[in-house]
Amino acid sequence: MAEEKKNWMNSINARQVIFAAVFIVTIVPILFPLNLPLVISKTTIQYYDTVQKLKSGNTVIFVWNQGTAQFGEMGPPGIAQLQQLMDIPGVKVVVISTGAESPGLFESNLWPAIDPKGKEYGKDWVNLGYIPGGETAIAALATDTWSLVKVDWKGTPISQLPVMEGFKSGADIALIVGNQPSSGEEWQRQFQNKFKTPIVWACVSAGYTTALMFVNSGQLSGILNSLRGGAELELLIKKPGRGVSAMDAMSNLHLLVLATIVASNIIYFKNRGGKKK
Amino acid sequence: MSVILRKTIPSIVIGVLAVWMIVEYFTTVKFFTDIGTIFRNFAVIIAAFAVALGGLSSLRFHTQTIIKRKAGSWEFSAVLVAAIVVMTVTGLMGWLDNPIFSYLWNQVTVPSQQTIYSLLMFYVAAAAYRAMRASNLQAAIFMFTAIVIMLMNGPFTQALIPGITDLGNWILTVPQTGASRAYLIACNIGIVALFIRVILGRETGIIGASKEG
Amino acid sequence: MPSLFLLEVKNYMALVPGKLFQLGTMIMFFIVILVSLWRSKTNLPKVKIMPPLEAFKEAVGRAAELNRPVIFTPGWGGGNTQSIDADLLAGSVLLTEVVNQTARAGSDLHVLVGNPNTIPILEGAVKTGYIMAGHLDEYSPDIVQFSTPELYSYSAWVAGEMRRLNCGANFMLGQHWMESLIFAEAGLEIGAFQVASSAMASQVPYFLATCDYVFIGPEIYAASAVVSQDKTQLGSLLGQDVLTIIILVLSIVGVVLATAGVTWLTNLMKV
Repeated sequence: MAEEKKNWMNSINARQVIFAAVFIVTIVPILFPLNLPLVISKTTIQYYDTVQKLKSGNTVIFVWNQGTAQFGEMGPPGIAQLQQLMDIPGVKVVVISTGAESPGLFESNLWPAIDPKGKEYGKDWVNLGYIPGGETAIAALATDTWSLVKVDWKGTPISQLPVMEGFKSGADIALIVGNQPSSGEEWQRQFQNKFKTPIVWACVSAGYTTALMFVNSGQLSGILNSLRGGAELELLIKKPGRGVSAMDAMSNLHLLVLATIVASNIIYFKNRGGKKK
Repeated sequence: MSVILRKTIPSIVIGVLAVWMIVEYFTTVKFFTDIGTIFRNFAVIIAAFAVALGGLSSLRFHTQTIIKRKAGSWEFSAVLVAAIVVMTVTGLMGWLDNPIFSYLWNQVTVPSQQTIYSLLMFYVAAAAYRAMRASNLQAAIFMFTAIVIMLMNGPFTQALIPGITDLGNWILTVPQTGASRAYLIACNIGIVALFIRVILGRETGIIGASKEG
Repeated sequence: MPSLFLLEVKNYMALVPGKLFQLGTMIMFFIVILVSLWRSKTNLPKVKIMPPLEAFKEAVGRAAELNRPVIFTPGWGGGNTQSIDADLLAGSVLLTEVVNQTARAGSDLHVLVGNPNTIPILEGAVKTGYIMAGHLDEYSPDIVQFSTPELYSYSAWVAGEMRRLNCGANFMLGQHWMESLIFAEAGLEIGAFQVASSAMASQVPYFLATCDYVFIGPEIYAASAVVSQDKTQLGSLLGQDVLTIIILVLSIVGVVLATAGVTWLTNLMKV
């Protein structure tokens, strides 16, 4: 019996223990919320303030470039970003995607969570859908929008959409609000470099450190650090949602990774001490 | 196919277009800007075909796998081909308003993609266990920096530990930014060098020409 | 006086405002690269062989000893656009070396592709590798395999293939993005010898934590120049190093001047 127990214990490796622990510490606070505190970071406040400076009549591009996989992480920030734009009266929003999956995700998962606050499609906001070509498409949009885009995602000619009257080139855009896995350098090159358009961005946590250097140089006017940034923005716009509810799990996960590092070092030094003897 | 058709003509076209777009970027002369706009719109149309190419390539590859009855994989290829056909047909018949497409999108595609992405959470924890060991001074500094940033990023730990935000922000805005900028500049110089080689026609890899000619 | 002169130059050349310094920088870049390319015709620069490049032979040899196949992934394509980038081209050159080593060792090779636009380039590279090894009869178009252009489907497929094939060596050289850790962990799980590269700064830490050897950033361009021994690539490598030094000097001078409150350099860059 003792032999069987020893063999069973020897067959468990550290990866399996870590994976099980990650699952448990993530699932428990989702089922039983702990309501741990959340500090709002300076970059999120900077983001919020930049967007709040918009005036009635300004046209804003909302870049929605998330794939289905990242929606769990970037969906809550996206909802908070678009809701903040909808909350500001008179601001016109043009939704653009340069990723093929993004329009479907927008229609099925993002837009149903938004309260349009009376804004009408075609008059106050429009979804231009997917525009292929990456940075080339962005450059074409910035130079001469109407020569590239003829219809919106529903097939309505843009000449019939009053909101597009205010968007003929990059010079007409007051702000670009982006939600994309990377740090949006192509939008900086094509819009900010040519027209000095301010840009605020939300990206995955893996791209946050790269994006931060653009904030430091002034190329980005604010940044949201993936799900955490989205949770902070939810609190600022007073509409807490899935972002805030995920913060307990995020806190637990950070603590688990720290515990893992400590355990790893203890085991390492213990084994090294054993070998030296 | 002759060398002129495979290498020379594409190289000339690429070179001329590249030089035109460079001139268009710097000049205010309307002639260059108007033609540049046309070229950009052409590129967007070609990119749209490239998107379709991805789907068609996938269909072709998996259809061949089914026909050849490749052991262990033809069954999965059959599922994939069926999925492509069903999603394409139902997508054209109403897109998200079509109940079958909507069901397959919301209940199959989105959750399955998120499942694969969520594996990263487990892998990062396992990688931290393996990599963060203070085996020498550099590794110890690396580990200390990672711990500070994690304490700062964790909502609860940031609220709990005074001063961690300032220390973490200093690490991110000073050494990290400097290193990231140096990295970015070095990588982008490589891209610029590639671009110059492409314009001069000295880089044939981009048009798929192999050494044999 | 200098600013008035530059204004006249700008107006004469019909330049977009604020782009004169950028134009001058670009011309300088061209001149440096052209001179390096011209110089390389007669005087090839010496390049230090990087440890990850030396590890190719070790990786393939280990796979051959264990009678396990070699897997090469050029990556998905870095972002939503799936464009062909410098990393992919450098990776395709390194693929010829991997193919060369694998053919000589007698191992099987699988190239798992996620971007259909890159298939012709990679097929060309594989064929070239077999020609270099003198084993053209072993080449088959089935070596380059494509499954799906969707990122996470591609990741799941590659991770599955690695486990099913039980590869002995895993080369991840090219445009790796969010799939990098999924590939690397799958390879680590089966004990494969892993060599990787990514020019995306965010992915390098994942590779460093899981792989045996990693090309960091622009090292992959140097490695591809060394492998190809192409005078153009080696010459351009020298030009890249010269440009890096110029930018470094400019940065140091700029920091010193900015700290001293002298703004002429900053103003010059805005012209």
